[in-house]
Formats: sequence, structure tokens, C-alpha cells
Amino acid sequence: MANKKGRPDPSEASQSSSFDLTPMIDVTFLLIVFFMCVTEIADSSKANLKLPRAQNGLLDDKPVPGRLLINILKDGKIEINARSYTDAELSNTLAEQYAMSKRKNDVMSDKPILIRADTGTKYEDVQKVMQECTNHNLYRISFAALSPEAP
Amino acid sequence: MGKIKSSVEEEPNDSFTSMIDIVFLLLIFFLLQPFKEPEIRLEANLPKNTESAKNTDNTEIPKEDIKIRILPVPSDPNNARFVVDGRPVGMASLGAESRLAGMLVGRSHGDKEWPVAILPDRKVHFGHVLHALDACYRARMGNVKFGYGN
Repeated sequence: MANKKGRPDPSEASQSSSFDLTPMIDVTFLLIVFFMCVTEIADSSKANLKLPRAQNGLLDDKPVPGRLLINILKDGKIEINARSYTDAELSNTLAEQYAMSKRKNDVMSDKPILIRADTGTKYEDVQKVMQECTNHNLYRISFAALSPEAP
Repeated sequence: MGKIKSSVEEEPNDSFTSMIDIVFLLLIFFLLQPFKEPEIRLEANLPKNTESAKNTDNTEIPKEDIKIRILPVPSDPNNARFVVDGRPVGMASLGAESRLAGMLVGRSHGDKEWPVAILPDRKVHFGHVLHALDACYRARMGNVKFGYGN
């Protein structure tokens, strides 16, 4: 509001200038940090499994690009990229992966595959997936485990 | 005088805000940190001979293979016992991996390329199979294959 002389009211001017953006910026930064951390941690390709522990192995901090990650749940269900796969669908996927990665003049494929199986999964369910991989000439298989340092 | 008083009162508010912000940031960081479980991988490059890979019965494995059988324990379904070439090694729950690794070193006569066949029972938990593979890693055995033990 202006006073009688047409000048702005000094008390009003001081109120509008005191509107502080700092908390909003703080909250925004907090949200950015939170979502950055959560998206890094929540890797959708990794199912929530209780992995077995192993003493000897290679730290999997830099995964090979193009690696196929197969999750095998405790009840034997297969998940790839957070989607359930039937045996037939897995077979088709592995056939596609082989076709894409097959080397010239060689039957074998260098396509790396990581099997993440729950520690309580029956061996026959894991063996079934391994067998399917070898049926499609995919031999570079690794198993995921928890390092002894994991909490 | 009044103006001086108000400016003195506002000062602590400013300093507290930034401190609370930093504390919250640190809290979030350290709260989320334990969820990052470091994973390791154990490579199990399967035999490249297609015929042998398809025939994984224990009858197909040559005699000279060191056979690690992983058998279920009827009284404890979560447990398993290791047997190497017919000799019992011990229960998985009692930390038999180190003994298993020792037996592998002894039976392979130090030859790291000596073939080892892991032959678990179909119903055995995968965790025990991985422990056997871990023992092979510890013994630095480079030629490991998988099959069925029953």
C-alpha cells in the first residue's frame, strides 16, 4: 500500500523483501540428494534376495557392460529386470542374447551372465538355468555372493 | 535501541538453519549407506564341450575328477554335508569349507588344472553349492564343473 504522498509504505516493503527462499532451496537440495541416493541404491535389475556369503571372489563394483543378470528367487522363480520369466521366455531371451553376441567363425559367445540366486534356492532350479545357458552356447557364467564385509 | 535488539535476536536463527541442514544431509547419507551391500562374483565358466555340458550326470564324468558331493541332511533340511571322493568332509553348518579346500589341494597334488566336479543333490540349497565353489576358489582350482549328485 502507498501512503498519501504516493510513496510505498516502508513497513510493507520490509515485509516483502524478508520473504526467505533459503528453506525452500534447502528442502529442494535435500530431496535431490535423497532421490539421487535412492535411485543409485534401488537397482531394479537386482531382486531382493538373501545372497550366500563367500570369502573368495571378485568384487563386482564395475559390472561388465551388456551383462545379463538373472535373478532366481527362493521358490525357483526367474526374474530379469524386475519381470518374471517362464522357462520358455528365458529360453527365448537367451537365444536372442546369443544371436546378438555371437562371434564370427565361432559357435561360442562371450556374453557374460550373472546368476543371482537366493541362498535357500534349491540347486535344481539354479542348475536348470545353467543348463539353459549352455544349451544356447552361453558359457561365461558367474554367481553373485555377498562379501564378508557386507553388514 | 529497539532496532539493535532485534538484529541481535535474529543472528542465532540463521546459524541454526544451516547446521540443521547439514545434520539432515549427513543423517540421510549415513542412513542409506548400509543398504549398499558390496557384492562379489564367483566365475563358473561352464565346460565348452556342448555334449559334455548337456550330459551332466555323474556317470559321464571321467574317473580322475575330484568329485565333491553335497548331500542333504534328512534331520535338518537347511544343512548339507560334503563328501569328497567318498570321504566325508563334514557338515556345511560347521564350516567345512576350509577342510574341503585343504582336501582339494591334497588330492590334486598341487595341480591347479586338475578337474573338479561339484555334484550337489537336487534338493540341496544353492548356498551350500556356492560354498563348495568358494572352497575351489580358495584352493585355486581352475577347472570346475557342475552336475547332479543323485
